[in-house]
Amino acid sequence: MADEILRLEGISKHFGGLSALQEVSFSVEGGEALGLVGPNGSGKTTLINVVCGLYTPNAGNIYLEGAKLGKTTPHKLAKSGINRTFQVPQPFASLTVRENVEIAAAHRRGDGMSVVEILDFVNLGKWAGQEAGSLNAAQQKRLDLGRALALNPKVLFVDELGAGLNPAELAEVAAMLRSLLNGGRALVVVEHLMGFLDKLVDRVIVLNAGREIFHGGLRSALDDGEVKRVFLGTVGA
Amino acid sequence: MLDSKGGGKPLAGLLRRKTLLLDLLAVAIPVIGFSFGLNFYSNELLLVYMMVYVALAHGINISYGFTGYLPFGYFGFFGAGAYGATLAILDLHVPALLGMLFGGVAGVLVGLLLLPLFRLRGAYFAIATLAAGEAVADIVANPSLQSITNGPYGENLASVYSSGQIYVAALVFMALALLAVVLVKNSRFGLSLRAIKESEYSAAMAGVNVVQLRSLAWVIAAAIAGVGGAIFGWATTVFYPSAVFDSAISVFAIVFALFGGTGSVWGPTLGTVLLYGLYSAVGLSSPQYFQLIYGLAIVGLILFAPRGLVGFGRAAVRRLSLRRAGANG
Ligand SMILES: Nc1ncnc2c1ncn2[C@@H]1O[C@H](COP(=O)(O)OP(=O)(O)OP(=O)(O)O)[C@@H](O)[C@H]1O
Ligand SMILES: [Mg+2]
Repeated sequence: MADEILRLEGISKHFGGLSALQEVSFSVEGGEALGLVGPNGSGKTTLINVVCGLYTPNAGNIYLEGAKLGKTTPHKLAKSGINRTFQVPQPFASLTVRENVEIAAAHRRGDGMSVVEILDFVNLGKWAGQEAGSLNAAQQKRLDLGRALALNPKVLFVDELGAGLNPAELAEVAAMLRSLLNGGRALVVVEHLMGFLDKLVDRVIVLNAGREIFHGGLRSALDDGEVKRVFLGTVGA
Repeated sequence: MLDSKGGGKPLAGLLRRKTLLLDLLAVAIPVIGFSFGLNFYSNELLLVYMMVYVALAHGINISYGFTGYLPFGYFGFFGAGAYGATLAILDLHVPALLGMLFGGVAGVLVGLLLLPLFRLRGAYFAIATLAAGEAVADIVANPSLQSITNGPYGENLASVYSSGQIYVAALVFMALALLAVVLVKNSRFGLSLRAIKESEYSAAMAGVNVVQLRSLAWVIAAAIAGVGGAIFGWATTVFYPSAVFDSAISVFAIVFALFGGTGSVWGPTLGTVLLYGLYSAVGLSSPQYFQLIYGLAIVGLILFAPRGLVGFGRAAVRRLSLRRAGANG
């Protein structure tokens, strides 16, 4: 069995009266890609925000390589190997593409890809000297990815990297993400596009209204009665 | 098409060296200018005040230009600096020049005290620092502290007055403030501050210790204001609390910085020389109008010209080069 990288136990998060996450638990291993799916508003991004220190959970514990993460700050989490991309990309718009990655690379512990290698990997080498704000949305998402990779994360959360891409680009991004699993990294991939996930993940967690309603293989998720109902419900709505 | 991989790196390095050179010129030219200032203009006190304001505007540059937090209470550091230096000179009997450093220390101490205000954002932060600045002023001017600060009756530094020393101190101080901005701007520290300003949380996820770096910028700005207040007090010789704890000082420094353009080394210097020059030429008879006008100017500049004069300059250069490219292509 591969080593467990990240484990969530009973994570809950409320916003006022709204339960965005209710007792969500799962773990990911090194070299594994886990899919996180669910209709709009089901709590996927909130889960990333909780694990990555933007929000404090109301209940539950998070373990990184078996060690419990106490109260900590986002920059410490980033340095200890947890990172993410953003559903709405968050580049440092007035900095160049290269500087965006350099800032993160400067805080890396241990070794990893160089800034140039990262820019090539996310296909932004050509734009290295440009202001990040001048990139299009898909490029900005790849820049988020590059910035996260600069810290050589042990576990990386990817929030809808495929949204708005054409099939050829999707295949490219899927291959890009798959190659990130080498070296024992764990990936948690939030995505609405099942075809994309199918190329990438072994297991999925399905969230609905903050609650985990399914956990298992992607194919069997698509055959699951409740999962079907939840997704058809939103498609029909 | 340029080969980005082959050409990108040296080009970027060259660009960086070029901006560093321009930034160093933005230190050297004002310093040389003020060194010879007395040959052109005989009002020594006004030149000293102007140099102090150049430095203050650059303190605003570091705290607002690089972090986005607008400190309306900047005068609190300034006044604390004036009093810190005065007490060191009169009570601890340190030489006046050394006393200026005590002013910086006093500014830093007040700055550290106010660090918790960073939990607030935007206008709330700006207003809270204003209130804090007033609070420091009230404490210093309190009659019950008369034995230490002379309360509302002010201080007198006539015993250590030395116009030559004051001028040199102001010049060196301005040079150091400018150098500090060059260092911040061209360092990883400055890059991280700009990242924080764009997106605090993303900066943290890039590994940047947001609280630490922002506090450091704040403390540097407070030190500049403290020394500025000290030199101002020394040059003014006799001053009341209301003269050094004056919100107009914050307003001026902010307008000068914004008008010239924050985030650059030239901007706040140009802004100060132009606007303080204008104020001195026109406003001495009715300074209260200037405060009003400058107050309105802050609002207008933040809303409509956040990059100031330097921003207009850059935009003009860009438009010209675009037009040239268009004509060629
Ligand atoms: N900061 C917040 N304050 C209040 N409510 C929030 C906040 N963030 C998220 N929510 C709410 O929590 C719920 C879950 O939102 P979340 O963004 O996690 O959903 P999601 O699964 O990522 O959806 P999508 O597929 O649309 O991205 C939603 O009802 C949302 O409105
Ligand atoms: Mg989401």
